[in-house]
Amino acid sequence: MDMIKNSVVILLLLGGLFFFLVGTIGLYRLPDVFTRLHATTKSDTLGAGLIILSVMIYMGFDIIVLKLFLVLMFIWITNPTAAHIISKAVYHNDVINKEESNDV
Amino acid sequence: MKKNIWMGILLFGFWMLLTFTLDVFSFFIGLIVVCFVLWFNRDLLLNESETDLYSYKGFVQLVKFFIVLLKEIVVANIQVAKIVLDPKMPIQPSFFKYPIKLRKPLNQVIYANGITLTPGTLTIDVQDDYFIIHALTDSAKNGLFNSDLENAANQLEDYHE
Amino acid sequence: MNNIMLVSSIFLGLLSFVSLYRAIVGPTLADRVVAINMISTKVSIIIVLVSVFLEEKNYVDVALIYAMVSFITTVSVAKYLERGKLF
Repeated sequence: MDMIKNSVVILLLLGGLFFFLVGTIGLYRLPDVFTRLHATTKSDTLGAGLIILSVMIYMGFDIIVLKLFLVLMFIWITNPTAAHIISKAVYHNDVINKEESNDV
Repeated sequence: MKKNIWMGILLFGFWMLLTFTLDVFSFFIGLIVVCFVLWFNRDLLLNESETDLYSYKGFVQLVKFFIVLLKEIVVANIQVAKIVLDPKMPIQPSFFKYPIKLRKPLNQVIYANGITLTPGTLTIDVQDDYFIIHALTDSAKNGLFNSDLENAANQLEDYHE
Repeated sequence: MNNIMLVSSIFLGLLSFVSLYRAIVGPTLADRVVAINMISTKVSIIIVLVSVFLEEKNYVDVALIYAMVSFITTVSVAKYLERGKLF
């Protein structure tokens, strides 16, 4: 039983680390701000979710699980919101000024 | 006034969770802080038209939406991982307008955040009846129309009719 | 198990150094904001992992507050970026 729990924890942890790695590589490789935001928001959100889920399973029944759930919910709500704010700022500053003739 | 009491109970529960001691001192400190926060943020609290999601049926729809969203998030991450790790980087970035049926601001916010988390799309701006969306690939752009997530989001506002 | 947590937090630390490259080099201000946002998500996860392997449960509160402060930072910088002033 203990071994099954530990292997699930390790599997989730490795999955989270993999998605963080993907996000970082995306931040490094992709060409402009909007595409970088694609990589960072999605991968960071799922990576954080998987790692916190693995920690929650590792701790078992404890009050700390509720606090971890709060951290997770906070990251999941704020990460897309932050991406939205940054992209809106960039869009209104750059794209509207440069591409006035574009159809958007 | 009623909504403020519910918000106060929520904030007080949060305080009890963070301190996690049950003595008189922390209890009264929490009570004073909650009252102060409620008074200080009285303009920011949700108003009557935004409290629909607190009802039972709205909550069920919200949970359904989140289940669809969780599935989409996993799909999204696998797609992004494929694109990022591909040495040729097959992306066709584009902007487009996406018409929405949702009218209530809170539902629009929930759906906009949902779109940001789903495969290859990123919400940039919210206008009256459309979102401006940045798509990473063409297939992501076409996949947004008539998706499961769209149906689940429209359910958010249909339930009271 | 604790060793695995330690190794994964070190790995996350290395990844945040890679993100720091984008924060320093990044051609525009927005790139830097994106990179800093990503680093702060990683740091709050590192704090959670540290609290597990040091068995200091209070550190989870630190992670929560760190996430809140980083969100405020991102919002204020993005607002400055959009309007050229904060208020």
